[in-house]
Amino acid sequence: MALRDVRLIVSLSCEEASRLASESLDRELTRSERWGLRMHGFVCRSCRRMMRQLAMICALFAKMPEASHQQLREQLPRLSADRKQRIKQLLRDAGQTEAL
Amino acid sequence: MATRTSEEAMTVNSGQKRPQIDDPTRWVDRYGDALLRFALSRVGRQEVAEDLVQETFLAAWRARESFDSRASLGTWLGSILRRKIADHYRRLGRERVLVDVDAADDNGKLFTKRGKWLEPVARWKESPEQLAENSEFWSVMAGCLGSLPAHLAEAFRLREIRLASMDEVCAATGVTPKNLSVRLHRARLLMRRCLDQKWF
Repeated sequence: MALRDVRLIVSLSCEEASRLASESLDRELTRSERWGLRMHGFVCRSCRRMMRQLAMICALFAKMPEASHQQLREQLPRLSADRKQRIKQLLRDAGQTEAL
Repeated sequence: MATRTSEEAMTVNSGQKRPQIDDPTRWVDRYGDALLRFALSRVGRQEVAEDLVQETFLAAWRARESFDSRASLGTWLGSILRRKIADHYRRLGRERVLVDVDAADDNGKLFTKRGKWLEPVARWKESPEQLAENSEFWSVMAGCLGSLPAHLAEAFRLREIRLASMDEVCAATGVTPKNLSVRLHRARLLMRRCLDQKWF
């Protein structure tokens, strides 16, 4: 086992553990990463909770009610109304200039 | 571009010959918000993102003769926007994009210099089943998502809510897989903390 893997298993910080916990939701962790995370969880209550909570947030969205989907769609960032008007005006002006 | 745009573009484009190209003001209604979100996830600031979208529409109008009507208008606009974003970073004198949004210390620190939690993580008492049925909980969840910086919220939304694959999110936000991992990590921890403070 490479030295890097040993270090990973025995001396993970909470910040690194949270990074691995997040990445475990997106990809398969390597064996050393899994062990590192598990070992860290044995000694760190905060990280044990963090791991459960990140997984729970992820699982919750699978059960999100339709009304909340709607609410989230409404709060997505948008081009402001002023800017929309300005761009349309600029496009109209550009069209007219060419027509002359 | 976001998948939504390409779907829209396909439905709009089917059958007719250059249906929307003649009225560019309709482009703004149809594609403005999607382009804005793409720009926002690359530059981070609403004002800058709106400027880039504006430049994109004007450039598209000037170049409209080069638009291939068999292609998707959304994809074409997206490719122009990408160039505008690259130009923007070039003007700032940087080759590498993404630095300013991702280097920003958004919403404060979570860990000490040595990588320990600044605040201990509390236990959550309710079960996911109880929470999922509580509409107040979802309002708080939506509020928390809205409080994230835009580039983090977008990564989180696509991955956790739209359930897009990592590759799809990378394509939709124009970032590398490595960068996306960093954003998701940050977004999830901030969401966790926000729920901790506002709900549990």
